[in-house]
Amino acid sequence: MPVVSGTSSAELKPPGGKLLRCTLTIKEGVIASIRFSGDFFLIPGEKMVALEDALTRMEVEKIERVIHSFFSTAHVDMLGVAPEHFVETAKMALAKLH
Amino acid sequence: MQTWRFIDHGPRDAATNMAIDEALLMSGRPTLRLYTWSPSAVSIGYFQAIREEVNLEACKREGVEVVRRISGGGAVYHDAQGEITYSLVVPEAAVPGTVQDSCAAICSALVAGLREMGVEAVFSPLNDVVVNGKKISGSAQTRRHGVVLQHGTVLVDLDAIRMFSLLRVSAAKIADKGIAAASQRVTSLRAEVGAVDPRAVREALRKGFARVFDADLPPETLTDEEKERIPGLREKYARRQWNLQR
Repeated sequence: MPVVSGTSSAELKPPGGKLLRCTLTIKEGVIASIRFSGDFFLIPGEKMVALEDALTRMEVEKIERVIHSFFSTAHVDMLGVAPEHFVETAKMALAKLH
Repeated sequence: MQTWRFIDHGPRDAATNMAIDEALLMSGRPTLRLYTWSPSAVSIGYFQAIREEVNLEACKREGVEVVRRISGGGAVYHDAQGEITYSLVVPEAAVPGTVQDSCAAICSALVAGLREMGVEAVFSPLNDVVVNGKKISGSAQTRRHGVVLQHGTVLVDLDAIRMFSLLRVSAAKIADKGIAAASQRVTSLRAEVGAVDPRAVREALRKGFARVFDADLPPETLTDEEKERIPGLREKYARRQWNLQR
């Protein structure tokens, strides 16, 4: 995967689910900032920032692994989205930078 | 039969309304609260990007307040005259375990209340109550320290053009729902059964919750401890930093 830089956003609405949007800024292949937003439910809510913090300063190649690892230990109750949707939305946003 | 508190009071501004709900969540006493918003306001879900969901310029122009909730879910327009908001605070043990199951259980009380008024309401997963396929109520939930806060709107009268001039609806959401105009997917008590007395709606909702949860709901007020917490919480909800955080 070539080294990428830039800011991008993508949104996904799983059928019957909730909207999930990912906005990220990449600097030379590293996540400078990442924000997930949408009308989904995630309890406890503070875990959203914890996921974003876990992804910040990571190489883009590690996005999928970090997200799955986070949800496997985070003990969150979600409605309208699932861990794979966070991966997919982030990848969609990244793909726009290539 | 269990005894829950019923708090039914007049309109408040957006920051105060959200501060009261959070104060109720902090105290954890089982409570059904019914309230309205003055001035009219838009509330957005905790995880929503405010500029993507709300037409901030239109809200400012129209004197409509905007506040971020502590619950997830979507953006809601709370018209000062045309909607009633409910909030329910209960221990987690009082409702089914998952967010989805507990949301369905609490919404069944709304359904019961609306049926009191002759409205053929049904729960529509994930978090809506609909009449003939049109949304009349949406709910949002959060939890803290073993206590559930679910709050939501019941549309009494609807100015869909105004509502959707204040809210932005994403293209992805419209595509999934399959209808171009979001305004075609909402309805109100007035549209379903004609003009209604807001007091009758509040009484019907109270009855719905009482029946579904086998609860006695005597009218009560906020405790002194809750009242003391409200100014500090209100300050948070009035801050730009809170409302613009995402």
